Formats: sequence, C-alpha cells, structure tokens
Amino acid sequence: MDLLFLKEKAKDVRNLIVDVVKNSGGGHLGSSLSSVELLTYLYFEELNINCDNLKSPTRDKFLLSKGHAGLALACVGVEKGFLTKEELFTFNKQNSTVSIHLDSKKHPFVDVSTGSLGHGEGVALGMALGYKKLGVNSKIYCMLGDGELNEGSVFEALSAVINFNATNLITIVDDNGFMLDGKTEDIMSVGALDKRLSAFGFEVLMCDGHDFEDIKNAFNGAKTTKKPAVIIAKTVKGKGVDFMENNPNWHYSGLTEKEYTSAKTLLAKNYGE
Amino acid sequence: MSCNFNDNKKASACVFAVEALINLAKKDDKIIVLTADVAHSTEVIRFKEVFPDRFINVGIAEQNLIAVASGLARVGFKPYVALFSSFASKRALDFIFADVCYPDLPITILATHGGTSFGEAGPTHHALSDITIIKSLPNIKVIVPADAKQAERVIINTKDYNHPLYVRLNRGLDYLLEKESEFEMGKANVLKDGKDGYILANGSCVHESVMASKALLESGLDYGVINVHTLPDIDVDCIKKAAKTGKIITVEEGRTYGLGSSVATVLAKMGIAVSFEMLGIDGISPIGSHEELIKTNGVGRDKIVEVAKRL
Repeated sequence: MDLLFLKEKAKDVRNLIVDVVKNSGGGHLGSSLSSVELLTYLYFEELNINCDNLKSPTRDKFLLSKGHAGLALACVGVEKGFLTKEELFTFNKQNSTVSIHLDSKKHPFVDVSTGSLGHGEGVALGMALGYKKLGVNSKIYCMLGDGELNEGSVFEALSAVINFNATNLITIVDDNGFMLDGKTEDIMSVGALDKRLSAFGFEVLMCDGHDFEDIKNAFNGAKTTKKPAVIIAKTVKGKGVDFMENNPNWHYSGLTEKEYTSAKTLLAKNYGE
Repeated sequence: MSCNFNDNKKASACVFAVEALINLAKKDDKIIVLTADVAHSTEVIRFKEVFPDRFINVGIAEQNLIAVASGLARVGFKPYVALFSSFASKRALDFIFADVCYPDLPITILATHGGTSFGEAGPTHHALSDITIIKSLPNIKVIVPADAKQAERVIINTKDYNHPLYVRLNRGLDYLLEKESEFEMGKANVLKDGKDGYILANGSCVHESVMASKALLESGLDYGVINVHTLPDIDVDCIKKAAKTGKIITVEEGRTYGLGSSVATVLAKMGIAVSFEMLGIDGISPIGSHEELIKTNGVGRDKIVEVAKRL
C-alpha cells in the first residue's frame, strides 16, 4: 500500500468535494467528508474496479447505501477516471448525470441507485447471493451510515446476510455519530453496534475511518474471517474542515465565499497544498 | 361472439401460475423465485421442490425480499417474487419503487391474496388499494388475470418481458371462464359484444360481469363484457368500442381509482359522454368469505345488474 499516494488522493477528493459544493450551491458536506478515506481505500486498494472493467458482469461491486454521500463517490470517480471533472461540476444542475444521489443508469461505475436509506444492504445481499450461485469469486461491498441503522430494513438484511452466510459481502459502517437532527446517540442511539452485530453472528472489525493503515487491517481481517464481516469505521462528520467537524449544520449546505476560502485554507493546513 | 356461462368450475390462479413458471424455469436458468415466509400460501413451494437451489425465502421481511430480488436482477437473474398483495403494495412500496421501478429491472411480483380473496383475515390482509397504488408507479405494469387459465397465460406470455410487472392473483379458487382467454399485455379481451352497454372488469369481477350479462339478457338488456386486465396502459380501443353504446359500467375488486379512474380518464380525454358508473370497494371491507364479500361489497353480479337497469 502506497500510503503517501492514498493520502494525496484523499486530499484531492476532499478539495473536489468542497469545490463542487461551492460551484453548485449545496451538497452533503458532512457525510461526504466523513467517508473520504474509506472510499479512497476501496477504490484505490480494495476493489477490482477500474476504467477497463466497469461493464464487467463479474467485477467487485460497491453499494453506497448512505446514498447522500454520492458527491464523495463521484469525486473518487473523477480521480479514477470514471467521469470527467467537467461532468462532476454539473452536479445538481438540471439534467446532470451527477447529483446528490447517484443513478446507476447514468454512470456504469455506480452499482446501485440509492437515496432512500436502508435499501443498500438488501440489494448487496441479492448481488452476493447471485454471485455465489453464478460461481463468481468477486466480492460485494456495502457502506451504510450509523444513523441509517435506525431503519428496520437494514436489520432485515443483516439477519439474512447471516442466515445465508454471505461471506462474499463486506459491510462497512461509516460511523460518524451524527444524523440530520443531531447526534445519533441523542436522537435514536444504535447502542453498542459492535456487540449487536457480533451477537447476530458477524465478525466485527473496528477501525479509525481516517487512518489508512487501520482501514487496511480491517479489510484484510474482513477477507480472512469465516463469518460475514462488518467493519465499523469511526469517522468524523465533516472531517478535514475544522468548522464543519461534528457540526450537524453542515449536513447539507452551500458555501459562502468566506466559508469556501476558509475551508480551502483549512484543507491545505490539514492535508497540504 | 357468444359466451358460455358455466358457474361451477373453479381453479387456483396461484397453482396455475407457479406450474407455468416451473415449466419456463426448465428452459431458462436465470429464473429464480423468492418469498417472505409465504411459500405454501402462494404455492411457490412447488417451485422450491423442483428447483431448491433457485429458491430464496427471506422470512417475514417484505422490504428485504424486494431488495434481495433487486440485487439478483442486477447480476443477471430474472426474479419472480411471491408475497401478499396487501403487503407488497403498502409495506414494501418504497422498495418496489426504488429497487424495481426506478432502475427498471426485470422483476415480476406475484402479488397473491388479491382483493378480498382472504376475506376472513380482515382489512390488513385485503388488497384493495394495490391496483391504484402500483399503477401510479413508473415503469411497471399491473396485470389482473380473470381466472387461473389466464394467470397461466400471463406467466407464459411475459417470459421475455424484461421490465417490472405486478401480477395480482387471488388466494384459493376462482371461477374459470368457460372459454379460455388469451393474454396479450395491454390488449383487453372482449368476451361478449353488446348493444345496450358494456361492463369493463378485471380479476374476479370478470366472471361476475359475465353472469350479470346473462341475467340482463333475460331482462332484455344486451350488455357486452370486456376483461381489461392491464393498467396503466389501458386498451383505449376497447373503451371506444364500449362507448359507442352510450353506457359503461366498470367493476373491480378494489378502489375505483384503479380500473374505474383509468376508464373515466380516457372517456374524459376523448370528450366522450356516456352514462357511466364505477363499481368498486372504496372503504374498509368487512370480513367474510371471498364469495360473500364480492356480493356484500357491491362488485358482484347482482349489483352490476341493478346498476345496468338503472343507467
């Protein structure tokens, strides 16, 4: 793993996120920024997905169940060459192929159209079961938010993952501790998630969702266990821009000139130019 | 075209549909069947017995059922999903929209226990809004076969249709129309021509309409019967044909916002004035047997005759 390369990519993705939101007038900054290292690791280290095999029916698949972080995925996509910067900057404009919630019919790198929470895990399970039946060795990855775990349908899916022993499905929770109205623990706590999921029968791996080494260890652990795995990645909502961190006001927002300048300065301070 | 009225033969739409699916699956290994703990109730247990590796039961989890089917479709399978209409159209609705209709996937929902065919179970199990709700979703067609033989034809004739489908079937036995109906999506079946008016119906109400038509003949009224099995792409030609008589009655085992509204919309758009009445179940149905409830809820032959005599 080239740590410097990944950190550089993550920095570029963060800058893109902030630039796009400034340009478009609004975006899910908090949720997108918390998932940057996870998405960067997935697309540059973990997934067997690249420009040449986007339409392959046997490649790995990634489902962004917390679909409102679509901006982060789109920015990673630009870094991977799945779409151009020009396309990215049409974000949220009428008829754009890039918007808050990505549409799988608009870009082949988008494996599922999400937006309504609580859907991704079940769809991912369907793909995982399908791959097993077809004898395809690739894996399915699904990323959820911690608040999303309030949705009952997520637990319908998680039960089924265990019951069907879908070991080719790796579930990731971007646990930034916040939802729209405030902290998850204040609105509707998901409790001791690790214990809950462990009791279900999952191999639960914890990691710092902003530390590439930690993330790497978690994914390696997820691939070597005999049980279906869940990676709970502790993240910071709005990570990288100090005034956005852990601040629910930055769940969905635009940026004034002043805020944009400040954000860019902070990103440079935290991650380099 | 005459219509033979045989009031005593019955058959199970679910059995006929599932048996047809088993035959299709013998030649198409992409077909996979899913259910949410209602394999026996929906008859897909038969499919499991023949193809145990192509059968998935997710337990009592209707939302997950649809999501899993969606995932399977996305990796190349052709899923048939069996669950009760009431829960498909309400509990799992967000999933049918987001994971079936929006991505336009080749998934057929076998929505059983339609109408008040599980009358004894009460309002939570009655599917009266399903046709209205599902017809309003994008990319999906609602098909309500008139009997078991047509249900079988629906399965066979849609085998190459690779878009969302909602096929509403009843629990238990339905009357068989004596003459087997063909099935072509969007093309209504004219069972009988009429001079004095037409009854447009779907599902169980088709047989009721046929019986009503016979009774009306004895009273000197010649009413035609048309089985309008597909929505929302309604067969406009059959409505024009019916409208020539100046009298149309629609009958359905569900809200009149389903078939009734669709017919009314066509008439209004075409600027055709007819004497028009919609029969349906717009409130909460009491409990009872299916046969009793068709009568009690005013979508049976007696009500049709009463309305026709009044129009």
